[in-house]
Amino acid sequence: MQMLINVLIGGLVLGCTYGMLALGYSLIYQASGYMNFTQGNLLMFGAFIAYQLYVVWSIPFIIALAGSLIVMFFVGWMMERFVIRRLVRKKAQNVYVVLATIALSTIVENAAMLIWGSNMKYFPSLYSNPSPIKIGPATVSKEQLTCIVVALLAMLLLHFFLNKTKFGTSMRAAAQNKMAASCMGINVNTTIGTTYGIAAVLACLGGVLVAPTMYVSYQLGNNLAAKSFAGAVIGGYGHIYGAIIGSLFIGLLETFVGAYVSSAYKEFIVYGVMVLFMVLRPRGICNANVYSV
Amino acid sequence: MKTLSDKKFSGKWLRRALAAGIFALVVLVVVMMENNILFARNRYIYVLLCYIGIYSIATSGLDVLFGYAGQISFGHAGFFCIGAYGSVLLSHSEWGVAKLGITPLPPILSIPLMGLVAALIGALLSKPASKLVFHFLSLLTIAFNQIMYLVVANFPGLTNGFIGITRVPPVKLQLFGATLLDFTAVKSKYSYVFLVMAVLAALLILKQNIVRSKLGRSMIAIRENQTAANGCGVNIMRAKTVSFAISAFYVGIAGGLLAHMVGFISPDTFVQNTSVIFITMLLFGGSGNMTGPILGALVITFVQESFQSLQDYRMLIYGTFLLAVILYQPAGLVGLGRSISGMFGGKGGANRGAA
Repeated sequence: MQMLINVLIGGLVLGCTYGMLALGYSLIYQASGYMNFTQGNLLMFGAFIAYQLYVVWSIPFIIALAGSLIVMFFVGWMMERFVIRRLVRKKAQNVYVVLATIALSTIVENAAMLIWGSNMKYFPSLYSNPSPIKIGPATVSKEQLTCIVVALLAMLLLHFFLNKTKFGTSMRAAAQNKMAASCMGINVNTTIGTTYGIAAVLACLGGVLVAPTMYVSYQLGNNLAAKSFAGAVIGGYGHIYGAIIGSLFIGLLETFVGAYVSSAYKEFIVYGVMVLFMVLRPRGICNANVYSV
Repeated sequence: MKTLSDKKFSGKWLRRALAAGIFALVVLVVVMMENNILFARNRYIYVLLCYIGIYSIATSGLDVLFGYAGQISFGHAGFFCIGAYGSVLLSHSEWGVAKLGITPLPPILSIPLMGLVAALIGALLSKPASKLVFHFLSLLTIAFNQIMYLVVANFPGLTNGFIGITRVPPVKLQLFGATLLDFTAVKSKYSYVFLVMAVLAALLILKQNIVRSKLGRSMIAIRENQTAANGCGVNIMRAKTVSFAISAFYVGIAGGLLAHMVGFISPDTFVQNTSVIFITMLLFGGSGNMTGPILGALVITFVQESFQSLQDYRMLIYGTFLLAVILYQPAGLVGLGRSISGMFGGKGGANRGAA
C-alpha cells in the first residue's frame, strides 16, 4: 500500500512534467501547424535561469520564479519572431521549419552547457523545512506535492485563459483559420508569437518544478522531451486535453513498470507503446486529426 | 537542328573529358600516395578521407529521402547503428553469431547484408507513417533512434553495453581461402580508403540511376506537391516507403564501413546528435543533387577535425550552421555556387536546380 501510493505520486509528478511540455507541443501545433522540438531544452534552460537567479544570485524564490518565467516568455516569443516567422514568410517547406526548431534546440542545449558547465547542479529544496508529509501509510515529499498541485493549477489556468478571455478566444480563432481570424481584426502574428511564449513559460514552469527532485544539467531536457512527445502522440497530437491525458498515462506507465517490472526496460516499454500507438492508432486517445490528403 | 545536336555532342564530350581528367587525377594522387610521394608523413589524411567517404555515403542516402522525396528522418543514426552493430555481430569471432556457434561471415558480405536489413527495417518503419501528416515520420524516427540506442546500450550480453566491442575484424576480399585484397586499416598504407571510395562511387551511380528512373521522378513529384502527384497517378505510399528504404540502405552500409574501419564500436556513436550531424551535412552541402551531400560531408568533417580542441563547441557550431543555412541559404553550398556562377552568366543557372 505504501509503495503503491509512493509509485502513484511519483508517476503523477512525472506525468505532470511531461504534461507541461506536451501542452506546449499541442498549443504550438494548434496555433501554427508546425512541430516544435525546442520544448525540452527550453525546460532545461528555464530551470537553469531559475538556478542562476535563485541559487547563484540568491534572489527570493517567488521573484526568481517570476523573473525566469518572464525571460522564458521572451525567449519563446523571439524564437517565433526571428526564426519561425521569417521562414513562414519565405514560404519555406514545413520540413525546414521543423529543422529550424531542431537547430534552435541544439543551440540552446549547448549554449547552456557553455554557460553553466557540464556538471550537474544541485537545486535546493524550496522549503525551509523539507521533511516529507504523511499521507496515510506513505510519506510524500513536499516538492512532489507542489509539482502536482502547481501543474494542475497551471493547466486549469490555461483552460480558463483559452476559453474565457478575449485573447484566448482570438488565439483559438487564429488556430482554426488564419485568414478568417485576420479578417475579424485579430492580429494573427501576435497571437502565434504569444502561443510560442506561453509554451516556453509552461516548459520553464515544468523545469523549475522538477529541478528540486532531479538535478539540473544541460541534458535534463532531452529525456523529458522524448517522453512528453510520446505523451502528446498517445493523447492525440495537437489535442490540448489529449496531451495531458497521454502524458499522465506515460508518467504512470513508466513509474509502474520501473517499480513492479524492471527499471531497465521501462524506457523500452514507453517507446514501444508510443510506436504501437503510432502504428495502430495514430489518432491517439482523443481522436486528433492526423491523416494527410 | 544540326547545331543543336552538335552542341549536345560537344557538351557530352566535354563532360566525359572532364570526368576522365578527374579520374586520372584521382589515380595519380592514389599512386603517389601509395609510393610515399604525397602525404608520406601524414597518414592521418587517409583516415580523414575514409571518414569523408563514409559520411558522404550516409548523407547521400539521407538525400534520397530528404532532397528528392521531401521526407525527413531524425533517426538515421538508428540505421547507422544497425549497419555497424549488425555487421560486427555477424562477422566478429567472439561476439554475436560466434557465440551461437555459427561460423562468422566475412565482413565483405556482412556489410551489404546489413545494408539490406536496414532497408527492410526502414520500409517497415516508414510504411505506417507514410499515410499520416508529415511530422509523424519525424516522431517515429526519433523514437526509433532512441530504441536502437537503448537496445545496444542495455543488452550487455549481446553488445557489451557501453564498453563496446573491440577487435572488429578487418575487411578482406577472399576467394577459396586465398586473400585477394586486404583492406586492413592499419596495414597496407590505409588501403581502406580505396574500398570506401569504390563503394561511394558505386552507390552514387546507383543513386543517379534511381533519381532518373520513374521512381525518382515520382519522389520529386511528392516533394513538390503531394496532392498533385497523387492526381497524376503516383503511388504515394509506395514511393515514400521505397525512398525511406533506399536511404536506410545507404546509411546501413556507411555504418558497416565505419565499424570495420575504426575497429571498435560503442553506443555513443549512435545518439540523436549523429542524426542531427547527418542533416547538417546534407543541408550545408545542398540537398537534392549529387555533389551537395559530398561537399557537406567534406566541409563539416574538416570543420570538426580542425576544431578538435573546441570539442565542447562542436554541437553549438553545427546548430548555428544549420540555422544559418536554413535561414539564409536553403540550397546550401551548391546553391551558393550556382548563384555565383549565375552572376557571371554561366549556364548552370538556378533552373538546373533539383533534378
